[in-house]
Amino acid sequence: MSYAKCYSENVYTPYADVYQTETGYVFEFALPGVEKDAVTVGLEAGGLVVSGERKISRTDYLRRENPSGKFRRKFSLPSDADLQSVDAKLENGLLSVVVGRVPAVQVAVK
Amino acid sequence: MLALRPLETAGLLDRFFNEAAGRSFFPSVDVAETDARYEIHVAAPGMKKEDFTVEFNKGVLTISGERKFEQSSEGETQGRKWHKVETSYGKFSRSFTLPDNVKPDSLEAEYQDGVLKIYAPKDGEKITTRQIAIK
Repeated sequence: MSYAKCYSENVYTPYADVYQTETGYVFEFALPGVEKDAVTVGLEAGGLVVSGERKISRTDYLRRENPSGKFRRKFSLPSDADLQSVDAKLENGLLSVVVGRVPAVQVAVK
Repeated sequence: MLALRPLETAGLLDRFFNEAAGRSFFPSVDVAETDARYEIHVAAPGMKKEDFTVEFNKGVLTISGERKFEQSSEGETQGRKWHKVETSYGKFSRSFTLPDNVKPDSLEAEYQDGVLKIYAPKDGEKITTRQIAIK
């Protein structure tokens, strides 16, 4: 099982798990072997974009199953996503991006 | 090199159905060789070093462990509504036959950035090939 699917030779798509809680949406990207400085988390046109590069400089591999090079993944965000509240952390090869949710305004029915 | 080919117990079909049913999976592995050692890199994001077992027995290196669902991340796991699960969970095991010139008692392993790296230093002294004279 690999942790990415390759759409083209140049850019691979890392696998992700997505769930929601009471307070936010959580996106967990599988990025084994990727350093923190090589990952960019951004918002564009209502979507969450994670991109970066897994750089491989060595040439002494006998066998390669893991993808390397540039990667990119985009998720569109639901309308109640709070774009002001985005938190990202990379730990043990797993990038967690937490996007807050704007609570719905309760309208009292008279 | 023949010796560093993975030694999978399950055939391709077993592998496919096991993965599809979510019972087990096969993590991706890179193998490298330097002048001094062999390196095996197992991609396993979101785990702890305690989750792995690394064994070397009669020339065969076996890496096994379990990536438990809903335990890879911190915090409250109750009340989560899952939208997408693409990464692999469950038990895994991969085995490799290491070449004869590996020093069995000096294998090392470390878990960093979601990759388990196993280092198998070579024994430079050990003669693994020998010419046999024909009488």
